[in-house]
Amino acid sequence: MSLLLEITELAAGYGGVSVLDGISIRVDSAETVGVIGANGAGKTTLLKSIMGFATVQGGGVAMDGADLHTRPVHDRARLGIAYVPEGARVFGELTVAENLEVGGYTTKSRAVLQERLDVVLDLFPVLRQRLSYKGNTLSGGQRQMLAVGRGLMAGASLLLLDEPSLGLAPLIVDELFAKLASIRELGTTILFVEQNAAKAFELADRVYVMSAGRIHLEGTPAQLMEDPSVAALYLGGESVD
Amino acid sequence: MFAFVIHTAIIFTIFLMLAVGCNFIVGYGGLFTIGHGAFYALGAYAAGLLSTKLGLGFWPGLAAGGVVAAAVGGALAISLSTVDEDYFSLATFGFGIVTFTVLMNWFSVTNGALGIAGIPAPTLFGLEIESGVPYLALVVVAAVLCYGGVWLLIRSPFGRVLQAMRDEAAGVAACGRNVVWLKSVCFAIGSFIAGVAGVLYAHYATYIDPTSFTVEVSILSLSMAVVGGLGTLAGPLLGAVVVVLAPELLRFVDLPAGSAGLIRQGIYGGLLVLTLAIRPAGLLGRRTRGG
Amino acid sequence: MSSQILINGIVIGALYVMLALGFSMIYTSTGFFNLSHGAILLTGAYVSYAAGALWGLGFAASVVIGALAATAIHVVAAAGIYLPMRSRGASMWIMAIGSLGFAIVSQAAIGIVFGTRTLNIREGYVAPVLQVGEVRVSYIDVAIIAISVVLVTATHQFLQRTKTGIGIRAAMADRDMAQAVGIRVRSLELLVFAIGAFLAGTAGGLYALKGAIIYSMGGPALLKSIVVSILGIPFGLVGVFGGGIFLGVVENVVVANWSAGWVDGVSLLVLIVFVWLTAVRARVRKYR
Repeated sequence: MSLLLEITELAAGYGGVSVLDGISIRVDSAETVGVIGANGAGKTTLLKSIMGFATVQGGGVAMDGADLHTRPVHDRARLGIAYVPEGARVFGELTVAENLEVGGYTTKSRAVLQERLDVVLDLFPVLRQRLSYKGNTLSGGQRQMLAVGRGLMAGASLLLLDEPSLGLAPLIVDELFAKLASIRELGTTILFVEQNAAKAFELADRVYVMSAGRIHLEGTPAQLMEDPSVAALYLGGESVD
Repeated sequence: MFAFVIHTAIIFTIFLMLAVGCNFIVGYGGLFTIGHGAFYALGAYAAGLLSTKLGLGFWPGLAAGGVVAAAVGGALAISLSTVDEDYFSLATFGFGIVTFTVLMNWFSVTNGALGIAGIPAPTLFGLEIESGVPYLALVVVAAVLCYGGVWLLIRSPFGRVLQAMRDEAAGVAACGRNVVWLKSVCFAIGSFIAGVAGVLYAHYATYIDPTSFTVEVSILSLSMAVVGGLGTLAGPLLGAVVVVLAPELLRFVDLPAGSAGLIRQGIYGGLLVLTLAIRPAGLLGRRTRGG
Repeated sequence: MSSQILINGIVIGALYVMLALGFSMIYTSTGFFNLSHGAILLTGAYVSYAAGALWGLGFAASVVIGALAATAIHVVAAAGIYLPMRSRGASMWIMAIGSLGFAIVSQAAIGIVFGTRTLNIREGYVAPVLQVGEVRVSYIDVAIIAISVVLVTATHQFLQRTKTGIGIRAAMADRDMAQAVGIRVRSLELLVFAIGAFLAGTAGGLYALKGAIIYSMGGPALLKSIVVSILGIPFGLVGVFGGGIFLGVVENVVVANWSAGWVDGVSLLVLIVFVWLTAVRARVRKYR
């Protein structure tokens, strides 16, 4: 397996405020990596620094060996990183079809776009029925699916997902994670952060456990489930919050 | 030459008061008004009408001008309390223009474009405060009182709550403070200062007409506050020096007679662009907000 | 209301629509009130005058040259002044005051070059008039309505149908997310600036052709842009179109029945009442 994304000793935050305190993560091609942790652990900031929305205060992020440090956000997208933010953030005033078209903004070939559109619509048939509806008329689950579909339209080599389960009903979460599993089968590399540890363990090849801006543990789901501290904190009957 | 310097100093001081009031509203209260000139106009017209039609003296007129401006300002802020920030600014801008239109067209009261003439000079202990150095002393005292008042206010508990509201309105509301009330009191205080400045202008000029109260006055007030640095104490003073005094100094430079005014205007605009392009938070501003 | 007043209002309204469409596009995409919008109209009008009356070009060529010159100048201002200000953390109103400063500079420059007295681009030329029943419309008025409709429709189609247009709307809806899908938002903002300036510059040339060129007309033009945009933005393009025509007609009714002096006050009163009544939570992207 070849190294796709490498984060080394990353310190980041917003303005002068520091959130991440020396984080190192690696994601290989075709791997699915999860990051779990409680609210405020810095999971969202991690993805934002990869995408270029947070202030990097130290360390670095490299994609395919290229240092991302000085690159503007749109360049990172063009390097093959697709970002599905917390709460999906679909373009509310645009139709579902237009949202998907914007997802493939950097791709010139019509034929390639049509191919990807077919893949996305086969994956999420519900979007096919809603193509001419505006983004802000969709339900929470549909928005999340549209956001993932928008990410896939870019033909990205790395898909970043921020809390895909957030605010969704359990049944919808199950459906969404089943879809993500099929995306994984397509060979797309995924890095996702998630509070729902049980779901994360189902989907991921490897998981990082994060708290207070640091990585505390790393391993396969099977390894981590053996770990008593993980079991108590994230998988036990007690709520994290 | 000497008379001209005194005249410039008087006008400068009156504009400085506008900057101080505007900075209080915008810089400390976070209420981005583009209608500050309207309250200057209200003060001036209140004084002009009261003195010429009712024969009221300068001092009652001074109080009346300030109070009228404060009352209208407070009421405007209350009535706009549910409006988004951007639209608040626009509505104040609209209010300034509506005020100008009313002054221009409500002939039976304001005398329209002809204006109000014969506003008497103020008296103190029976003595007339003459135009010139005595009047300069009067406006300087007024400006110092206003500046000092603002200085005390922003250090008072009210001032601290006000600045907290500017930075985080929801948080202040959650602490049980009445944000609408805070905003309108802040707006009223800033308008009061503008009203007083208007009264001082009316009694100095002895003649007022709507052309002294166009939307440009509102924009000038705001420019002074912004260029100096919103929410800083010395900001209005520095802003007034840059925006009002610097173009005025060009009178001493030989410019082609026909376009001297235009060149001054261009330099005023250029200074505005340059300052804000280099220091968006103003000359003294340390931080930027809303960016 | 006589039909003559109505048609006069529609002609003026057609110009307001062009102004306001540009203004509102710039506002929704870059997030600030471009207070130099009136100066764009002024530049368009004076350069058209130079092309038509001084260099002897035809009316159509004059208007186009005026619009292009206005576009070029104001795109440079956007790229060199306003957008860098935002990168330095200027808030929307600080940017607005910066643009006002630029408007003051360009107005002064125009005054120095052309003088401040009223000019006429078509000295001695009387446009043919179309008479329909009681109503008289000059051919220039007909052209104004036609050009306005064509430009507004073209802009709308561009935004709705083309990939770039969809990208612009995506950036208007969510600037950060648009960057995250790879859109070079800054370039699109400059494109929007160019479109907006072209619309306003064309309106300036047409305004010059319709009547006299008045040195102080930039301020009122800015006012109309703001009023119509605020009325229209919550209702989209149809709102801007309807708002422009509405304001043009209302003003002509005011002028016909009362006096011209009340016009600006009335239009701003319309604005304040609108803001009051609805306390618009406009669906435009809030400035971040």
